[in-house]
Amino acid sequence: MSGAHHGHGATTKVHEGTRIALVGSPNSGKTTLFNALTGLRAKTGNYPGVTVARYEGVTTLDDGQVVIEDLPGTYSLDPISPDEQIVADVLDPQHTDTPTPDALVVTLDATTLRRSLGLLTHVLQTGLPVCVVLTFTDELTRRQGSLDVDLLRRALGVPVLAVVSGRRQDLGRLRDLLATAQDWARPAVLPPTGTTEVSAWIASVLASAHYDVPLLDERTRRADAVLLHPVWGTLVFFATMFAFFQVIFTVAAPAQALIERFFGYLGSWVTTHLPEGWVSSFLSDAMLGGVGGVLVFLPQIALLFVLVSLLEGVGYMARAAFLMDRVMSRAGLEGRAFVALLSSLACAIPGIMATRTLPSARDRLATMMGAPLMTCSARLPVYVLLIGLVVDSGTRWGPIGAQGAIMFGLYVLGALSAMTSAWVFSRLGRSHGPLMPFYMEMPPYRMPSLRSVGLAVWDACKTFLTKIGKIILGTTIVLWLLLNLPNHSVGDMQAAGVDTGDDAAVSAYVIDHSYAAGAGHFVEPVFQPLGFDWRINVGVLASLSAREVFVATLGQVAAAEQPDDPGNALSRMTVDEGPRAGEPLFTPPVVAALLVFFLYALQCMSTIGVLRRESGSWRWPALAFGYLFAVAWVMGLLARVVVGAVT
Amino acid sequence: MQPDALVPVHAEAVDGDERALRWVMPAGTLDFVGAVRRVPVALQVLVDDGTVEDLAVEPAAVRIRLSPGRRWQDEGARLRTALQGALAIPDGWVAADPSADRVLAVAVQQVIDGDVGDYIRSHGGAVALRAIEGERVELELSGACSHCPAADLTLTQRFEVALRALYPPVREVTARTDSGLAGGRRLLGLSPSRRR
Repeated sequence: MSGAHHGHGATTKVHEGTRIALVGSPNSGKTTLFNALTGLRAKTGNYPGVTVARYEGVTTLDDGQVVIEDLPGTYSLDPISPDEQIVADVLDPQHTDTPTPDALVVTLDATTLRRSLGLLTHVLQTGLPVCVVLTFTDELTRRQGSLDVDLLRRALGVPVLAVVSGRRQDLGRLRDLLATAQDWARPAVLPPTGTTEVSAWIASVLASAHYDVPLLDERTRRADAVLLHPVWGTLVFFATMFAFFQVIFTVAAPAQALIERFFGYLGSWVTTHLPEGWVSSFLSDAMLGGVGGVLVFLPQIALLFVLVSLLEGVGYMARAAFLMDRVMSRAGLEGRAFVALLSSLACAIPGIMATRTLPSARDRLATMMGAPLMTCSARLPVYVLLIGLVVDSGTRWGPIGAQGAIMFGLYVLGALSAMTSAWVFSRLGRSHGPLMPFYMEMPPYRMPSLRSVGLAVWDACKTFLTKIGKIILGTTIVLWLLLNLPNHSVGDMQAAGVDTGDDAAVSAYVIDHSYAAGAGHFVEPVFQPLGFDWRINVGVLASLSAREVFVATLGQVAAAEQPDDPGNALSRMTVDEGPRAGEPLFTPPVVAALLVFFLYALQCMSTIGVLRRESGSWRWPALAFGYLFAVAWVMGLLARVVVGAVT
Repeated sequence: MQPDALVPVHAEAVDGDERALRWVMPAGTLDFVGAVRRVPVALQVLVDDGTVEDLAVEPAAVRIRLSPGRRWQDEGARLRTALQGALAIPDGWVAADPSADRVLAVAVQQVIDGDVGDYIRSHGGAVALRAIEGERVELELSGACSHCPAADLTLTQRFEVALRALYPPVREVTARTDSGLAGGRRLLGLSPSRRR
């Protein structure tokens, strides 16, 4: 068809800055196709004005490259949610904020073709060159449906290609097709726009393509009979979540031990090979103690994302949202808000961005206010460190590891608090508008593509490492300076009665009289009821930039105070002044207060920034920060009192 | 289908004729093929005002050619509405030659000229219409089909399916094959590359 036009002029013209956008409904295999086309070379950005992630990548054709853009999943171009608005804007040539692509690839799920063709009628109205990629044709055959691709191509009047995910042969054909985008066949007559006309058109196209609707997937039907069952489904859901956290702890432990040993080795190398002085102190305290302390949690974060993307790839997330719709309706929200909250388990930022699928503005704000309370991966290092201080890793309650159980409890508490907060905000902002009906697609259970899981994990690890590289390293260096300045002369120290021959005593003196200690002491009245001393205060203040910094800060303080054994320094740390002087600092009540404080407080600059952009003003982030701080303080105090009474 | 639903139609290109489109409709919507003498008013208006140059009925489609100078981009939506209106009143369509009952014969020929025929020819076979009796069709399969064990499969899975899509009342499709080189035996492996 278009192969004949594949001449010299066409090829040079096509590839110079050609942009091709992928359009498709959610779960249509669009992102899998995008990943297959662009590999690991995708880069993300934002659309102007709103924070909708914009994915762009380059795919290499025989004789050049084209830019591929992955648009958010959409069911139609009559936007009802901010996500769909983006797609509509990008495809609208009148809308000049975003460059209109040169051609569109529409992914249609062959198992839900009748619905998907509705989106195609909208896309064809744009007048841009369009080609159709049919996905899941293998599943269509398996479920005893059928479709004649050649007849469909003739009926639609645009190129149609079946691409089974990951099949190289299919991808090769798609690349050949992309090379000739300007010459794609276009329909002589565009499909109609009216609702009844469109359904007549779709019926006609499907009939002439000999489309047989696939049977309900037998495996999916059987699995759903259990997994969506009001009793068994809920039980399975909680069992899944519980197993989830047990796995995160048990599987990641060996890898963590390796990283720890590596940093231990580096630390001893630095102290033996470098001369005593500020270089050595900087390297071992700030770099190894601080950054290394956070880096240890990489295996757990990777594992968290492996599990989350597995659950999502298999199709369980949609079931979880369905099961939770009932619970969510108690909080005045709908099941889709649960998906946003669930994404916040990884990070509040994608969670807040996932609220864009909510059509109601009130629901969006209520969910955004709750999302930061979900236990995100940044809290993970803090929780692991703090739990490890008071609960031994070998402790078991029956067959269950105690550390994992406490962690699970924290996740549950976070989720409950997020729901409560969402409930309060949805009550506050209640407008008596009509309730939107809740509908959600239940994708059939599918084998998740290893590539997608790998990419999600890679992305998460990259983000984590970049965060360590930028925010955490920066904060750590500033903290190191604050902890070691002002400079004290030997004379000063001797005047204060410090034995200048004892390294530990010297560094303890330096830290106790540093600027950071000043700041820690300054806020002491605020945190004193929670049992925090100035060292914890420094950590809490520093963690306002990012939660993981808390771990880095404590690592630095510990490394400086007990350079010979930083690993156990924290658990042996004692209160150095006041009525509790001499007692261990990290007692169960204090750790409980800290855990609960971290559960509630909004200590994340990135989240605040995203809240600002998504809600359109500083009002909401300021409100969120204020109310979460107050709640964190009160609940922290409560935790300390309760745990103090129990132990 | 709901009573007020529109007749499902969509347009398909006609190779080598930009002004013509085949408007595919459900088989059996009209009970004749060939030229028309009169169509319902909604569509007749477009014939009379010179938008439509020519109009012919196929087994499951109406082939419409626009007058020179008219373009489908401009006329398509208007024409679709008119056509769907006209197809809702099948009695309003009058064939130019009402005597001939040729729908099945045209449908068979369309399948032979179309993808299924192409498939058979691409495998070295040949297919032709031999006879039609009532709603029964007898074909002649020759060439590579004579000794091909898959010929029956092609006949039922491809030819009959395609024909039934154009003409649902068809009762039976049978084929007579010439005895050919294999003497009527259906064998693979007479190709020269295979030696015994």
